[in-house]
Amino acid sequence: MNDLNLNSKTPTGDLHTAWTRHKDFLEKLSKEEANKYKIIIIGTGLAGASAAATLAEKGFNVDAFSYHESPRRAHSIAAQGGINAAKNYKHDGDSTMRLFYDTIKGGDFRSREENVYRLAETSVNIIDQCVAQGVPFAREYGGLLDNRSFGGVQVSRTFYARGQTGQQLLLGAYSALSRQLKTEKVRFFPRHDMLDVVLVDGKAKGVVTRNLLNGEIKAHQADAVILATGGYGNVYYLSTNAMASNVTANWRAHRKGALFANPSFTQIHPTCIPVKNNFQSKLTLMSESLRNDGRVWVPKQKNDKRKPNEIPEQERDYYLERIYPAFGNLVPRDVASRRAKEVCDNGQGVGPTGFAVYLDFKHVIQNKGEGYVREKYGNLFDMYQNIADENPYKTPMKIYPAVHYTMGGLWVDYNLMTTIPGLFSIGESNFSDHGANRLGASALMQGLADGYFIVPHTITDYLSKEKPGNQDTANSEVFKNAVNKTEKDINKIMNIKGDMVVDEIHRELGKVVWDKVGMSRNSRGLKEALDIIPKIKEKFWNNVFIPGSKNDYNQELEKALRLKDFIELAELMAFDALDRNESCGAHFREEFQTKENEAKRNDIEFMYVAAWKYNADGKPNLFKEDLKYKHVKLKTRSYK
Amino acid sequence: MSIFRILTSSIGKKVLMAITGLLLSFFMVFHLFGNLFLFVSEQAFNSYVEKLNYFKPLVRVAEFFLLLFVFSHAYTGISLWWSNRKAKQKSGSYSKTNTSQAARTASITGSFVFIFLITHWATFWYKFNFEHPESYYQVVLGNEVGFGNPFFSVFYIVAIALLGYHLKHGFLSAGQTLGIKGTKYEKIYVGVSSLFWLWIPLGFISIPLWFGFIKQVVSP
Amino acid sequence: MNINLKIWRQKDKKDKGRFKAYKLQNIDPNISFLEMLDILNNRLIKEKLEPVAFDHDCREGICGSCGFMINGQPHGPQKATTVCQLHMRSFNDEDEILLEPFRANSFKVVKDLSVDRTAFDRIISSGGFVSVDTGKAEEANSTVIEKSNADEAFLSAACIGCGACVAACKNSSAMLFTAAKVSQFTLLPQGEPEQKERVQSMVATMDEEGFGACTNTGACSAECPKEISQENIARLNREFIKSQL
Repeated sequence: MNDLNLNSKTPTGDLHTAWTRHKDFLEKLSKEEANKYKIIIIGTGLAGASAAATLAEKGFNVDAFSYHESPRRAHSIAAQGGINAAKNYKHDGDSTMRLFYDTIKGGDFRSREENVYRLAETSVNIIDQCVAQGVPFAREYGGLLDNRSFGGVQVSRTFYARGQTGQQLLLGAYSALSRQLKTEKVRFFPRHDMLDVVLVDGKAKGVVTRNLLNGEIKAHQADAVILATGGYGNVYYLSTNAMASNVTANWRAHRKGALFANPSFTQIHPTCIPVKNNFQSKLTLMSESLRNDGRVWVPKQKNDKRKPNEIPEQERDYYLERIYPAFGNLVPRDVASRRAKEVCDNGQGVGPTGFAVYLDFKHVIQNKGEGYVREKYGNLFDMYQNIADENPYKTPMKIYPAVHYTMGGLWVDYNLMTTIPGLFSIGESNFSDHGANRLGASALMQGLADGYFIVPHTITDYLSKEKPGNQDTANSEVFKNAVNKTEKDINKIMNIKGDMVVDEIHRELGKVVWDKVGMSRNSRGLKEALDIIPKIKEKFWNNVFIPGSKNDYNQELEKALRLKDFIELAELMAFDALDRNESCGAHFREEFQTKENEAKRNDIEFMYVAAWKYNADGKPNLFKEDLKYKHVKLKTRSYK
Repeated sequence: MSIFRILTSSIGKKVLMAITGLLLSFFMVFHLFGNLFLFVSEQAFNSYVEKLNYFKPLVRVAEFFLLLFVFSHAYTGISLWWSNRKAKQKSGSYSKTNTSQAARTASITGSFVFIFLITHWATFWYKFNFEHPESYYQVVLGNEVGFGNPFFSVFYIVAIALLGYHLKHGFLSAGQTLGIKGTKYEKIYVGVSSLFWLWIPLGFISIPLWFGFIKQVVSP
Repeated sequence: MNINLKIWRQKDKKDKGRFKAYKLQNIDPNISFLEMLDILNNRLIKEKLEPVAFDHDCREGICGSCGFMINGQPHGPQKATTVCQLHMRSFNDEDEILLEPFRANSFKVVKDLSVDRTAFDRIISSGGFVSVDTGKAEEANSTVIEKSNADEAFLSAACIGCGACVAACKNSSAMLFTAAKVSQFTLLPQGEPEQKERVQSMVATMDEEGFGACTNTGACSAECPKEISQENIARLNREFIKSQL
């Protein structure tokens, strides 16, 4: 299969009308016809819930699975800052073209023009849809929707609901899904993990799941499968992702033949609460919107142990404002993160570990008052105070970058279909729209664009060419085999009976990935990672201990099944990072930088999407999808 | 449909409970007004009761409704108590720190008040209506079932105190059930609530306290 | 610091369950409460025992997964805080800490401290939505909404569905949860057309699921990690009465 041809199926010609023209040629199905088909959706966050609701509205029968007890618990809920849309309500010159350009540029020219344009185009419909659902966005005194600005852009196009935009949008999508639960067009399976994709004649025709409450392994038949399973930031152990966020569904699909694209493109978010101790289980993000009003600084002097308020203005280094006079504190995430690492590596870091920088609100409080800050960021400040045990109204916040989002994911074509026919991937779980770096407030936008407005059209087109299957096939040989294989895998892990706790091994893996495939990488470190990770894998297979029974609510077994896939993914990430001999976006290779320590892109050799094919021998094959820029001019990103 | 819903839905029952509770509370104002004639003179009290007898048919209708209110209040109370008991797991914990004593004991205080009402009807009310005493005043203050009997006075004082305690939670709760909170009436409602749970019960209690105890000491 | 834990252990729905005592020594007061449980679980696994099951996911206080009773209070002693945001510094050295699952007949125990709260989803799917198909929405700014109403709707919509209100209530009532969702749609014009049906069917489902009736004790709001106010319940009551008239 080494001659696999990656056909992205992107429409050619005029960019502005590309999606409309493409859509016009997609096959449609009437409600009655749609009723003959069943679609399985894995994951019910923003992307999954919105897709489930919309597909049910179109008449399809949907079986939706989540490892949560309720769709409302998906990690989309934790997105704080907002959602972008090119509404141009502020009349600051925003447009679809501009949002498109910002996103392409923010992604450091490693994403498809057509996909990104479609995203920008769809953004306006998302806001309309959400408002109609009763999402309580922030409003101005005149009663119209309010906007704020966000990192990496110079216009104000971010819609928000205090610091809980993700929550409100997810609850909107959840309510749309709930409405379909009432009509019984959607069946929801809570507390289920997907452990395999079932292929019939090379096409995705079902999944194997494990009921987390009683361990039951079961096959489910469908005519198409959508993966909406989010990102894999937890490969680093410590990240801002929820504890159970995982790569398992994607990885099992990858093992079955779906290519994995740009796995090493992981975003490190600049404003998180720093790590405090060894027991730390996760990191907490403080919305990037804080950088609108907060100023980032460190002491000019190295190892300065004075309290922040004792350090006079002239001895502070507002390094982002110094290096990037035009964007200042609003530079994109990758830039802000790397610069923070740089000043800390240089000994200017603050806090007990020296791995933190200040985010100071003194000036805005002086100019606009505490009330202004409280209204805009109240809940974030409370959250910070609760975790850090310091009052951010009085003393600057301490922040440090942390893993936050993964731009990489399953490779999909313009129709959001993976290289397995009938297997779609939407939201963070695919690689499609953010290139090598995602702009703030764009993740919610992509999740909803894919779920509400894109996949419902493209999957209909796919299904219109498929004969509807029937439930009984779930008893056929191929499904039975898949169930047996999954059961065997689980027995194998249960029977290791070693003496290591899953988290111990995960922490070890996380440290390697963070140190060597983290904020900045170099070929020596990556080769070391490729040397160490197989040893961790061996450790897992020889030493892990799972208490309890597999036919029970067994949270350790869940974790082990996920870690097993993270270990394999970590290896692929290192392969990918090593292959890309350039710096772009979040992928910073120390060997490839300018004199001013900015990323040095290599458009001649690396303007491609790296899509990897799984091989049982552990040596993945690379397939390249070349990127072409016809509507924007390639530029070196500059935020100065 | 509406009546059916009221009797089956939890909020409907609560609304019925609130309305009957409030009407009974308002009746207490009227009742206390009459009682206070005891402080004026024997003659004043007796003639007040006589005047009421003059409107007997009207009083009977009112009494019928009051009885209806008492029973529907008690019925819904018991039915809610029962379903709430089922909803909570056996000996299940809840936030005691944030549930006031008055709210926690509302069903107990309510039951006690109900027992009190029955004795109240069996004594004063029965005698007033069916024994045609020469002086109503003497019935109230006499030794048989009146405040001349210290046991009876104590029972009466405790019962009214518990009624006040019942209303301490009940009156505000009724307002909440009827959706007063967050409206322009909230302030007034909360303002008058102490009238019902504190001042009116104190008014009732003042009678046995004065005639049964203090007066005995001050001017025997 | 040292702490003495008493934790409810229950194998599954059918098991009767019992408290078990555990001692933890040298706990850093700056770790979170759930990290303390991680440490305990790590120890139990090392001793080849079953760890304590508890629900948790985002550990940022927003997903609503976590929640159990700590010394008789849902989410523990700190106001407006979920368990995952609670830190050990809220306790004293040698404190006895009693952990038990949320108690309500509508929330069956799954295992140990984990309960099944899917009854909440059934309340929402009985009417907690606006019936608007994807793609049929009008331009967002064509309806002007008073800022104060939008802000208040947000406060109601901030509910995380953790179930603390039910656990706090002596009647295991789900009124605050139901009221918060009804309030959100009452305060916004989008909720208007289906209001009557929504209120009636959500209240009916709430009752069918076996939650108790509200007796206005206010414990729910006092314990709510998102401080959803009692005004929501008053509003639901008003809307319910209106829907019957």
